[in-house]
Amino acid sequence: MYLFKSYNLKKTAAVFMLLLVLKTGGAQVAKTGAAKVPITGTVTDAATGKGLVGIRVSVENFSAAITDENGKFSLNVPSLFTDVMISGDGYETRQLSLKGKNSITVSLLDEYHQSFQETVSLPLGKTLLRNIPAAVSKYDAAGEWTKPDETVDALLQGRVAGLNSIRRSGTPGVGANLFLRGYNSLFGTNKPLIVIDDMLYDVNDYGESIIANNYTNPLALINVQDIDNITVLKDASSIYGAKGANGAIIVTTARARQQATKIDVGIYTGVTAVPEKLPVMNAGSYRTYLGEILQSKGLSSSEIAAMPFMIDDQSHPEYYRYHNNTDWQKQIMKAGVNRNLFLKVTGGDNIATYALSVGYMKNEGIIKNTDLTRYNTRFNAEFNFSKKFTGSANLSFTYNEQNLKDQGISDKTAPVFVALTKAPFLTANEVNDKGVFSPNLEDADILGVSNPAVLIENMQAFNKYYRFFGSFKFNYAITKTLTASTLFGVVYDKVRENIFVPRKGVSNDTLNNAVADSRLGSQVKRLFSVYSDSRIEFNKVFNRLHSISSRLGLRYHHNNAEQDFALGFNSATDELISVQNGVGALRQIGGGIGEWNWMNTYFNLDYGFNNRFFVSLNAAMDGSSRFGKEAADGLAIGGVKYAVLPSLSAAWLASSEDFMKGSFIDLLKFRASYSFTGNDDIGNYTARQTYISQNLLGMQGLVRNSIPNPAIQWETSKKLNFGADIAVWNERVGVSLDVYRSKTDNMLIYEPMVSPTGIDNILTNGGSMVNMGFDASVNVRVVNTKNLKWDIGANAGKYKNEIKTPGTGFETEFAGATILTRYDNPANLFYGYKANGVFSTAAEAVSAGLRKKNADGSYSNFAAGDIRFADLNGDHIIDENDRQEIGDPNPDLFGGFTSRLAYKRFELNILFTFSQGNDVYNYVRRRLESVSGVENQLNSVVNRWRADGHVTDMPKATYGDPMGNSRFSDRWIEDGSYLRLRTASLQYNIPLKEGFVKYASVYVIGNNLLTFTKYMGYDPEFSANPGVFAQGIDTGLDPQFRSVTLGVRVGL
Amino acid sequence: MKRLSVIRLAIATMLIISLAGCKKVFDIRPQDQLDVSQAYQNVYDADAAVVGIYGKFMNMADRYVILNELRGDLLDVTNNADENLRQISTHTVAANNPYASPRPFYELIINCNDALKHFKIMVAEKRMTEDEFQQRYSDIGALRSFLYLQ
Repeated sequence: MYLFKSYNLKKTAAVFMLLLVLKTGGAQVAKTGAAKVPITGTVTDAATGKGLVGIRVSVENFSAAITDENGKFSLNVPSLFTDVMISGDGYETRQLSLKGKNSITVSLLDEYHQSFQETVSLPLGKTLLRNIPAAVSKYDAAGEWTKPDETVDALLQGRVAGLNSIRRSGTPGVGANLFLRGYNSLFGTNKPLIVIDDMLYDVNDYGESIIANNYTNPLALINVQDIDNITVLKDASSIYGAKGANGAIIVTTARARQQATKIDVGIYTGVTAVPEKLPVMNAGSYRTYLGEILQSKGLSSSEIAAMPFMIDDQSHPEYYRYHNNTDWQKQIMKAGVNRNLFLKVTGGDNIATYALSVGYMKNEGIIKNTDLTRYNTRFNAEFNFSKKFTGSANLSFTYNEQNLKDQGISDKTAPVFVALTKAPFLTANEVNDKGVFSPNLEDADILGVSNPAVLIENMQAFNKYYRFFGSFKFNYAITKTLTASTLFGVVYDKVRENIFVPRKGVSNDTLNNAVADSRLGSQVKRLFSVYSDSRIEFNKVFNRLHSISSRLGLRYHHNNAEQDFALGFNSATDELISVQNGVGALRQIGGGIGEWNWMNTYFNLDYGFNNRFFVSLNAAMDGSSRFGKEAADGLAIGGVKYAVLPSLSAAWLASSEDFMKGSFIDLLKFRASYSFTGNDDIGNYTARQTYISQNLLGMQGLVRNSIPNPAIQWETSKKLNFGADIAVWNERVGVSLDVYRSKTDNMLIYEPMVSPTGIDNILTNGGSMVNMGFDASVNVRVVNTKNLKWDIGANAGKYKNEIKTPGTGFETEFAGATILTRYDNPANLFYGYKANGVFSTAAEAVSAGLRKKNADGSYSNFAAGDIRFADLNGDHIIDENDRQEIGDPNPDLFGGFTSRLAYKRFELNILFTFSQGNDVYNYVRRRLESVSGVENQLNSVVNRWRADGHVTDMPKATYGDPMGNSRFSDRWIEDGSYLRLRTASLQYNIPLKEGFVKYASVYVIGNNLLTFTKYMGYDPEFSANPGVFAQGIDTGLDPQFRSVTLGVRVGL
Repeated sequence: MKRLSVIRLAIATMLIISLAGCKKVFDIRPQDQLDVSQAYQNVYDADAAVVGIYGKFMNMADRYVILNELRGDLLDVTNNADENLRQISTHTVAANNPYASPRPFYELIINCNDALKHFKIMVAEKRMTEDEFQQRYSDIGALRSFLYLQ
């Protein structure tokens, strides 16, 4: 009867299920009664098979026992259909269903084993993973002693199924862009919500950096050595209301685990390696190329021959200046040194426990004169004021200093780009007519290219940022079942940037009314927020069967962000580097102020029946100053619109059912959830009509700032998730599978407007997008003997993103790429021309008869040496109608492989990460194979088309590329798949006698050691900005690099 | 029962706090722009609107020249001119020619309409005198007529 019902449950709706559960529950109580039933059992070590002494076996709030020296125990349980908890120091905790047996044998694995029995931190408290109905993944950082240089976002790469962590660049501390299960928004944020110690950790960027393409990563202010564990919540994140659409990453920092004082010291030092250089042309090939380019520019051969770099006469005064063979990439890159010191003290007494940590880190980048220095402090404490009144404090302050350079698309000032394109026949230093080098650095050259060495030595770009992140929390137990708690926290964050680009050695920039030689700038960004979270919590177990916990709470978040910058130009000398020295008339100032409030009233109800059925209801009602008063959705109270976002999740632990008594399956859980969550990243004042300044001959007036949309509201993400967790072979094999479909409605889009409105488009909630996919992870304890333990794991995620906004779609431009967003297609398809080789002969070009329209309306024919673009519509005119989908930057599959091998005192940890099937647009190669300017090019350009009949795939060199041979086409699309040995660490625990030093370990750690890829650029991993439209585009940011670190950890 | 009422009270208090205070909490005016509720308070604000409209009007100088002089053959295109200018010059304007779009004119007209509406409200609420109103209203009114005729 019972079995039959249970099977039905799986199929019926959640509400119906609850009713059935209650009914069957009642039946069972009657069957077994509340009497004490004795059971006996044995607990053994899975590795040795021997009985374990001192293991605690208990039934919650009922009885407990400790195993004897043979591992045997006897315990009174309320019924044979209850669960017992088994836990002991150094071993994993297990919750076991008796399923009618009165004798049990358990063999425990060690505490490092990853299982479904671990405790995870959820938004509202800690729970055993086996009892959670939502899709969550856990990463146990336990003070990542083997990854001292990582940031939280990059640390999760390859660890969590479904979380695509793409590192932004190789700049130290820059971290990664995170996408959990695809994209949820086109113009709003896609970042998962980061929660650190129950408080929202703001990771948004309040204004662009004045250092070209620099990203200040707030997560670089968190030392990973301070992190205890990380939970990734993929669905049912409704509890965070209008901030939960992208899931949540819940981070817990260091706590004292015991009262005895414990001191941990870590010291690390490492070296980085310069990445493999891109093969650019040498001086000889480049000189020939330059000659051709100048010829196509219209210079006569005698004019070209008179150029100083073409004169091969050693007595010519400029011979030595123009006859070198410089490896410019070597000039700007250098192997760096990493240092890291960390001290953590934990301890306390029965009134208060604390964890205090101090850290120092200095990581040098592979670009010369770039580094990141971090000073971090953290103080976490827990207080027991009285039995009923407890509290905790989490205070942290971190200060980072960064020496940076411009990077990415910044043709005149980014060292990497300039080094790739600088003429190799020049040198960094001035040279006289005798060939004697001066210590002075050369000025910009006659081709108008900056000197990379000047950018390294004399250009300055500093970023100093700090954040205070602190909170207090108080709990008061009103009764045994009812608790009230409140948390109050403050964030103060400041970013200060300064830049100076010298006049000498850098090519001039052009302003709209002047030529800029030296460039100066200063910027301050500030964020202040106040956060509070108060709740009352009810916990009770009825009849040992029905566990109920419920919370009702209110979060309030007030934020104030400000950005102010000043840019100056043309200071009197290169010694005057601060912004006030610029010419007054050219000064530019700007910035912005943003203030917003968020209030979130939440309700949660977790119901568990006999530790086998779990239902969780979460709901939030959000108010925000960002929402329009005329929002279509939501609840209107007092003229304000509130987003109401519920979610329901349920799980059935089938393995705890009687019919699974004899099964080889240790754990089998089915999960289902449906949730509504929101995204409030819609702009602070989008809903308001405002006026902005307008200049008239020196007077300031006011004009309307576009047309507001008072109906602007949160984006609504509806997530449906089905999952299963399976463990077999004494839980040595654990498999987790999830399939999901998430749909974003009310998605922000720019809707085109008719011309009488006077504006081109308006931001509305008219869009819609769907993600479908699956996540899977497997963990296996392959070998489990006394001396050798080997765990392997794999995880993978796949998502399919589709736009469901009706209409013709729209195009976005980024780094010269056109990105198409169209109905039924992924959000960010590369949309361009298809190239079918190069016209080898004039006859071939004539017979094809292709032509293109020029800016003045006339037409030019494609000739020999030009690219043969596919003419889709057959009109013989290559124009925008001939574009097609040429690539998809979304991976088919991404994830990682892990291995942990522990042999006696050695431990080897390996992480591989992979991304498969993602297309990449190589912007850097487009610039280095455009054969259209005086910049140096890749070596492949040597094979450019030169004469009629030459069969090649590289078009001819033509100044300015009038035929658009280097236009955005599939020539620049590459396969970005890669497999990387991301980290490998070898650890040796030194044997010590009892004494002052309690334990000590030494580490050898390697990062990015091996990368398997067909990608032709420096590295296939980059993410130019967090936006959907910037993914898979290599803009030439500083590349990833290898590093090897040695470390030692000592415990006192 | 008593306990229950405590809970109820707590819930009720929370709801009251969260909802009653809300209107103010969620009504944040931008600080780097002027909210509509703060505009058109006095005659100086009206002047700012007039100055602003003229300022924006100046930005349309290129269109004024191109659409009149170039079409009227008082100007001619050079070899460097792009296709759009050539079309204007030869009166063969295509639909996608940016100079053909009336959008910028409408943008200004919307600003004029907005100012005219507020001027009327201001004079009705005695925030400026009838004399001041007539000066400014006729100014913007004339400008709007001019724009419509372009």
